[in-house]
Amino acid sequence: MLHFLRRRFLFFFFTYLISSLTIFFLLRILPGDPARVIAGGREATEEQIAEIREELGLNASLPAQYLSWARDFLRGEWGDTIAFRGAVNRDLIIERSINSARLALVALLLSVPLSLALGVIAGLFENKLPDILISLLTLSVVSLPEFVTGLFLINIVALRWGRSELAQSLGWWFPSSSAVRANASFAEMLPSLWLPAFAATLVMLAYISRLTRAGVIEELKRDYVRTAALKGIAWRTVIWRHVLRNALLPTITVIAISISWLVSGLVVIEYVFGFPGLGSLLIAAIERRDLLLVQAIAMVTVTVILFANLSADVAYALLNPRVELG
Amino acid sequence: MRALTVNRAYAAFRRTAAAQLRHPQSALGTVLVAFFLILALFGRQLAPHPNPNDQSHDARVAPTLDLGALQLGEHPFGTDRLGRDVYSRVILGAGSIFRIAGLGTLISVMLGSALGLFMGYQGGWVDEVIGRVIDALLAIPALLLALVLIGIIRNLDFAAGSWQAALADNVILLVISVLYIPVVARVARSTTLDIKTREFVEAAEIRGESQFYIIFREILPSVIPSLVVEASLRFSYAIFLVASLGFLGFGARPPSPDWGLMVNENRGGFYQLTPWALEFPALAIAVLVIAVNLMSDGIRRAVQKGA
Repeated sequence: MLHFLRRRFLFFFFTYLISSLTIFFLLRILPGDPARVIAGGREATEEQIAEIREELGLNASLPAQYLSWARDFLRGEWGDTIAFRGAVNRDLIIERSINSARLALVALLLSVPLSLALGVIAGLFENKLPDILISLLTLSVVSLPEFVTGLFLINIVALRWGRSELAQSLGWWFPSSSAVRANASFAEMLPSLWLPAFAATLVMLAYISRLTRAGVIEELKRDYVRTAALKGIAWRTVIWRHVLRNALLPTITVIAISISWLVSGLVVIEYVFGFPGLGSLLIAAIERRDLLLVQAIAMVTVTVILFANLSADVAYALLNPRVELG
Repeated sequence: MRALTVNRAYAAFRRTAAAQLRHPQSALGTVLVAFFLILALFGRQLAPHPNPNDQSHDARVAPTLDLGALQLGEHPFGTDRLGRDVYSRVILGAGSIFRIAGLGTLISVMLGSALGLFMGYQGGWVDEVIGRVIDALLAIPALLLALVLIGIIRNLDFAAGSWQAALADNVILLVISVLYIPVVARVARSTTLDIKTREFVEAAEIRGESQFYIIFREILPSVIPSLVVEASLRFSYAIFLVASLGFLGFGARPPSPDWGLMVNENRGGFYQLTPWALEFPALAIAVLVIAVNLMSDGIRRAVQKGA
């Protein structure tokens, strides 16, 4: 166990190092002057470029530059934004990250129970009608790009059905745009979170439910299930007490994977719905050529993902003593 | 030796084809992919308006397609707000998505499998170091890496006509290669580890064959089935990625007839005016993505059964 944890933490730090080196050096190894690129390319004046070179310490050696950049990142000094006047990268990123986390939370609350239920049902009825129907449903949804499902939800569900008399009389209404104030409270934001969260759910649904289905089918074939059934234990008890308990253990890993998927999948969904999250901030930063902001967002995202993966692996190892990860 | 390889390839092809036919959904996927491939290859001949930016005097014409009467009419998918024929643009758009996704897949499969074969055969610290770096790279989400790469490369300015400028023009191709080479390398490596313990590899080593010969003439043929599966999977991801990047505005530039771009250009307020200008390219993306998935499912099933 200790051995596994040590190896896992080592890998975490190594991965973090490689990712940060990648993000750092992307700006440095590419041909061209990084200071000029950051200052905005052709339109930049020589003074601006000199100022940025000074500020970033570009006159130092590469390893020294990397070290000071990494230290600044860990201290939370992520520089000033060029794209959004008067703001500091850190404040901007924290505000948008909170919004993205809210969206991710609603998406997980919708998708995890739903897809677990679907997966368990499909697994218990392997190759029978419910299983086939669920597979068809989830497969046809999963292969669609997020922006196609998102636009479908906006144009068909929010605009067309939402305006029908039936929907109006039921008081059922989804806003077609999620472009809310970036600093709105959770309660204010909630109405506009449902639809993007549902779009994310549709994408995750197939993945989680397929894994759950496979887990249930595998557990059902084990000897202990047959033994329990032959001992005369009610089938219902066998399923609830034994099969599901074992089959649902991998779900922890799945949720962690979903978190890292959510971090990138939400980029497209936030953009489609105009939601002020980290993903739409990234797109805006790239469009407005604010490369320091892009770097900071990339680092924050990678940090979140690596922590999610690490905690999932550790939690899984703690909960399942059989896991022998050498 | 060569005849044997050809025979084996033919047998594998027949087996794949037969397996595709046994599963109607994969057969359907393959047929649809073939259909889109024909559109991609002969789009200029098939489109009523070979120039995607031909503008007719009638903007915002509703689709004239009549499925009941099997008639296309003058503008089967209507015209967009600039009077461009959506039907022609959808047909012409197949070319760019196939070219970028296909070429990107080809590059990453060739380079990735060379790297993976080398790592797997070499073993030792070379394998350990490259393997760990690959694991670390794979922890970064693909879309994030793609966006950051594109964001940076687009900001560089190069002298027109230089090789860097040519690279910047094909930045998506570069992105796909960077993203998928590690993935393919990992698959090729794990298969190589299994193959290299076989007797025929040992025999070649005893014969004193060069490393190059052993890797490419002895090991590669046995690795090809898993590479084919991986290639079809990569192709489906690449199509997904190209469409998404096009939609986000980081792919083809207007006025190219790129499907993702067309969807983006016609959303929002324009959707109320010309819903068909968004719906048909979106439908094309959806059908192509599902078809490629079904096809690659079929290929995977056939190869696993054959192995």
